[in-house]
Amino acid sequence: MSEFVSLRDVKKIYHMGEIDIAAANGITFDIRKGEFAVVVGPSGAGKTTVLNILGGMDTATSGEVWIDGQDITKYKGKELTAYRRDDIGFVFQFYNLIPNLTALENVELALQICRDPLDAREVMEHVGLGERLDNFPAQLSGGEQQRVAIARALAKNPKLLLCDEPTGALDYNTGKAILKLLQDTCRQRGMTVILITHNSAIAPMADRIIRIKNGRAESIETNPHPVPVETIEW
Amino acid sequence: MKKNMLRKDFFMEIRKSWGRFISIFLIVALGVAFYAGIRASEPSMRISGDAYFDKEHLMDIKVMGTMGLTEEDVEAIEDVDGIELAEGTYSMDALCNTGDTEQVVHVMAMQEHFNDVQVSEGRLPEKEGECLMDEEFALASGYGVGDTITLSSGDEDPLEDSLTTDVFEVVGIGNSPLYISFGRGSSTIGNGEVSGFIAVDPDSFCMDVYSEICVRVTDAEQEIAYTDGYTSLTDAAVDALEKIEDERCQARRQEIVDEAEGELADAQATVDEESQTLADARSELEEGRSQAARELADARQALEDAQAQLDAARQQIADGEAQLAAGKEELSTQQAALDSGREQYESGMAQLEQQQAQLDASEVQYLAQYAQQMPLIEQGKQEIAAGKELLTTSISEMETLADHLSSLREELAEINNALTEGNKKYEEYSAISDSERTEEQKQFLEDWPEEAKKLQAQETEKTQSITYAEAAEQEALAALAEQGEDFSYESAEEAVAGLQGKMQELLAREQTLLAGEQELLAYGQQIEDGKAQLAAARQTLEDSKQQIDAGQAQIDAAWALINSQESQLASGKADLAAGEQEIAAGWSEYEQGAAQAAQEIADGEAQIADGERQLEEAQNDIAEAQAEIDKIENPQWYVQDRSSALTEYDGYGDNADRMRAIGQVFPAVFFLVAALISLTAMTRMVEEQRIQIGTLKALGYNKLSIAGKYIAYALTATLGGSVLGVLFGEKVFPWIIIYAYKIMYQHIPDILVPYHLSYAVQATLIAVLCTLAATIFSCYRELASVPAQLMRPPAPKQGQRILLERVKIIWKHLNFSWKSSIRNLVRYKKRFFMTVFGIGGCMALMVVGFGLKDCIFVIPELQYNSIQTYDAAVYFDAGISREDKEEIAALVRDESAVSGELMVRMQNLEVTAGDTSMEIYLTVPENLENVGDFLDFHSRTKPETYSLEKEQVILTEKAASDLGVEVGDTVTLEDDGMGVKEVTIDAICENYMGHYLYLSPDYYRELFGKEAASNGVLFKMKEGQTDQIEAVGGRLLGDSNVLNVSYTSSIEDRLDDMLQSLNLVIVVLIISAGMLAFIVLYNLNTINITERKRELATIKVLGFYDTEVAAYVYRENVLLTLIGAVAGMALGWVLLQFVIVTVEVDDVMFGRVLDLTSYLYSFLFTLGFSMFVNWVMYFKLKKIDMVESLKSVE
Repeated sequence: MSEFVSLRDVKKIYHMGEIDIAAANGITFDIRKGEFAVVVGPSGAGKTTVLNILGGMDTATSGEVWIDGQDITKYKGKELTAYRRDDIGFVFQFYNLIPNLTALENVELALQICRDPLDAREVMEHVGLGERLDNFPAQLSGGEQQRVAIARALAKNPKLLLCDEPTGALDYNTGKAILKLLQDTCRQRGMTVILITHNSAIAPMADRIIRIKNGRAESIETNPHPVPVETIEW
Repeated sequence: MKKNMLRKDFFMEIRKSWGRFISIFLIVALGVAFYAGIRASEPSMRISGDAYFDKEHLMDIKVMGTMGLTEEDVEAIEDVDGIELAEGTYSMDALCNTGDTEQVVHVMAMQEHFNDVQVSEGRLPEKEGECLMDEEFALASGYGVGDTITLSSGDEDPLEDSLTTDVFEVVGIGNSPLYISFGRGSSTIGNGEVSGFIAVDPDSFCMDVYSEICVRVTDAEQEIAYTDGYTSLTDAAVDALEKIEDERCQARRQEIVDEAEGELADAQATVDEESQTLADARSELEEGRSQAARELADARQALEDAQAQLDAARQQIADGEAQLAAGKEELSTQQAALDSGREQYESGMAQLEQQQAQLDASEVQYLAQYAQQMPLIEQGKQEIAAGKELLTTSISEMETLADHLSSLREELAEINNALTEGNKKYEEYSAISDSERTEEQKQFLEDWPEEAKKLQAQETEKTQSITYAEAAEQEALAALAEQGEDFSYESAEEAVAGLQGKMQELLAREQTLLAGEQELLAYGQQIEDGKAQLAAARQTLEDSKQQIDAGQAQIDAAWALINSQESQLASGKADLAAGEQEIAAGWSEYEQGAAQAAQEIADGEAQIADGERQLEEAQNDIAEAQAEIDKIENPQWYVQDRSSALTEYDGYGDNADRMRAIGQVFPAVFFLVAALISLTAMTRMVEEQRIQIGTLKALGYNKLSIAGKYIAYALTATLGGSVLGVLFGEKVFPWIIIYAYKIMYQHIPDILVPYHLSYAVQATLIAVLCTLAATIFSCYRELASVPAQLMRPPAPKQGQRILLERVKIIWKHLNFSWKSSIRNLVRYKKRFFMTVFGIGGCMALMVVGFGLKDCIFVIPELQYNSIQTYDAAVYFDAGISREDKEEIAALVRDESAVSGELMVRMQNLEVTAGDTSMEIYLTVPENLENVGDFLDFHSRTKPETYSLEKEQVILTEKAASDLGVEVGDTVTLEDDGMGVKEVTIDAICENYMGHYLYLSPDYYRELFGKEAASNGVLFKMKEGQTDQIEAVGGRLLGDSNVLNVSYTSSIEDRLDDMLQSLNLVIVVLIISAGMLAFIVLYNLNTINITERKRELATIKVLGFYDTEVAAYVYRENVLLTLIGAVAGMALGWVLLQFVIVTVEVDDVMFGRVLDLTSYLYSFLFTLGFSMFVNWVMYFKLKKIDMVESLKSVE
């Protein structure tokens, strides 16, 4: 029960002609429900593969991925889409907002396909954009855009919030603010958050830190005393 | 090195973006192919046609003469400048029966130098009686090689006048360049339509003169038919020929006139001869007539004399009868008197008988008394009586004797006396001289001696008698004396006296007795008296009876006389009757004779009159013939170039023109779209590579080197596409189009599709310029920026609020996909317009394709079902009388299948308004009562109808627009015969075929000062009997005054035939439009998806199903397609109006109304193409990798 997310020996092998390249070579880790987990590793270590597989955007070549008691590696096309739709909230590095929908509409766009959504305005209030509901993405700053993206992910009321370098395109302060928002969301809403980053400086704020290297989970450590974001410097 | 690397980059670029390169290549190829191909169709059509015409030596000009053409004409024509060759030939129309229909066949002689006939089966005719038959006609009629065809004349001239035989054996089947399509032209015989031709050997013709001359114009063969070069050459030749027309025609006329006048002189001689014979006969007749009259007069005189005699006799008889009647009358009177006398007698007799009866009763009483007393008296009496007896007897005897004696003596004395007296007289008379004696005296003298002798004899006799009597006296006296002495007497007289005394004594005694007796007797006497009286009366009566009887006897005698006279009269009458009969017989004989004579004379006269009439007729005929000869106008030549001489020749050229019109519009649209597509592609390409451009620029390459890549890229694609397009398009499109037209013009054997460099260069140039300009423009914009700016991603386009958001009600109800789609449409304006333009262009092309079909195909329907609603027009021969026209109209009216007819005047007029003038058909109905049944005047655009009663002058629409006039404007009519008149247009009516100016008959009269002389009859068939129209027309053509009958149905059919080939052209258009739509949509969609890969990946990550993602994209496509389709409808309509005006032939107006189904079909096709493209896109969408969403913005 406690293992909300559980990867068992997950492998992802790309066949490039004669050579097999293993992007993930037997990754195994568990994340508990309500934890703020950070997956760190250098470029090419396989963290994006992990993200893809967790996010249902890609399937593992072998191994098991249990999310809330379901093995999503068994899922095919439509089931995967349904999984993405209902269980996953996704925050992209480059926000990926629909440019010609307003902030609120971007949130609502996600809501319209989901079974048990939250109130969009409420979520927008929550991410601190109660005043900018009707602005188009191009009218928002990067941080604001990322907040909208987070709101869009949260509003779906997902089981799992996946964040791909959410601060990657942001300046330091804004990045910290975003991280704080994510941490707060995790704490306040009991949301399981998995944050993927190459920036190991962020690790101390997490409940669990998973280090990926060469397609493997090099270390999995739990942090009994995660520090608030404000105290972290990089 | 630098260049090399750039070159390598260039080739790498092409390989990398093969799809883009190919799409530019193909769209340019398609555009160029379409542009050059369709445009090349027009000249290729002409070239194909021209090649055929040249190969078969189709004549350039045909000359026909109203009175035939002679060898001299041929020579004269050949001598004209610009004429290469002329050849006279024969042709005629005849009838033939195929199946149960009578069809008109054009019989033409094969020519040496012209109009070669191509044999598709069998061989060419080689001798008289053989023919080659029209392939189509053979197919339709079922004739084959080896069959025979029998011809008959279609007019009053026998076939033998023109042909040596009327039976031809079909030895071959083939075609003639004179007939390139289905139409075989019209004829003046049969049903008025030629069904086919047969080509025969010239020997089969026996005409004196050529019916036509075919002419080849010098150098015309080098020119392409239907082009200006050809037309100007032949026009010049036609003009040149028309210059010699007058001279040749006069010569021909003279020839004909001479011939005719020779014949006429012969005829006149015959007539004169006949007239002499007739005069002789007439004088003979006159002689006979007078002789007959004389004889008859004699006979009449004789008869009349006899009649007079008879009349006199009749008078006599009548007189006699009158006398007899008078006598009879008298006799009747007398008889009446007699009868009354007889009646008196009868009554008297009756009275008498009554009295007699009374008397008889009294007598009975008396007789009783008498019987009682009488015996007593009788006793006394007896005693007296006895005494008396004695006495009396004696006395009586004595007395008798005495008396007898005395009377004799007396007589004697008398005789003596007479004798004496006579003698005395005789002597007295004798004394008188003979001459003085009266007749009586003479007689007496003559008779007397005889008389005297007689008297002397009597005297002697008497004397004798006396002697005897005296002797008797003495004897009686002696006897008496015996009674007693008392009784003796000397003489008888003494005895008497004595005896009487004695008697007295007795008487006294007796008296007493008698007293008593008297008493008794008195009574008896009384009775006796009565009796006597009665007797007397009876006597009287008897006397009168006697008298009556005597009278009766007299009357009877008179009756007898009368009767005898009557019988005499009767016999006279009988004689009379016999005489009369005789006379009557005489008269009848006379009459008979007279009648016979009259009959003979009448016969003679009739014969003469007959002869005279014939003579007069002959004379009239001669006069007429003379008049006709005098009237013989100069024959006319018809110098016709191909387009007027050949039925379908012009149609082919018109179709080529139509192709040019289509070629001017369609390819341009197509090309424009293609150019826009390649422009978009190139712009997109340059934009995509801004970083590369920036990098190169940063590396120090000059602008030209950088731009060179893109320019070269565009040039390669465009040039390649153009070359392929030209190579492909100029072959395939003209081929398809000419092939389509070959449905109609199937005899044109070869499709020639040479390359037309001008169109190729034109198309390529336009394509290259377009893409180059687009590329340079894009590059220039990018190159103007500094490298740093170029290497940054372009500022994201701002989301925009759109107008629709202001309408909260609608906006709120839209879901986000829709909101996004709609905002997207607005955001990507270029894409929006490109797609709308592409889809719209495709839609427009199809609308134009279908619409053209609608507009053209609707013409016959509209023209002949709602405007000119009559079924056929009958044209009169020129110059026939009003009565003949009425007669033809009556013929039409009498046809049971005809529902109505209308006499009209139709003529060509030159109508001028301002600077423009055109030929217009003036139409004037004879009356306005039922014009509405034949012609429907109404406006096309306004719901207005017109009538000639209200609007006196109605002009048809196209004519009005060509002339640039409107209602209320004035146009000028110009006619050779009637001069120049101005009229004001009262109304403009819908019309599609030809140009008409309708005038009311009243206005015509007002305008030209005379009645409009009708020259044709329009008629309409009854509902459901229209199939009989050709039969009706055929019958009408039988009338010699009917020039021609034209059926609207055949015009309709011909139009339909002509338009069929447009169908294929339209199919080509639609397929091309479809390809265009596909390429446009595919390109734009590809660009769209590429541009929005990230966005699409994102929504995929968000959990949109594939279908939802597709829908997200499709929504935009559907919207664009719809908008494009609507724009395309509008564009199509505008384009169609333009095309129609361009394509329209001069005297035809196309319909202007698009059928809704055309929009529908175009829309469905467009939608179909769009859906197909979207279906292809679906797979492209599916392939989008979600990982894209994780990548950074470029």
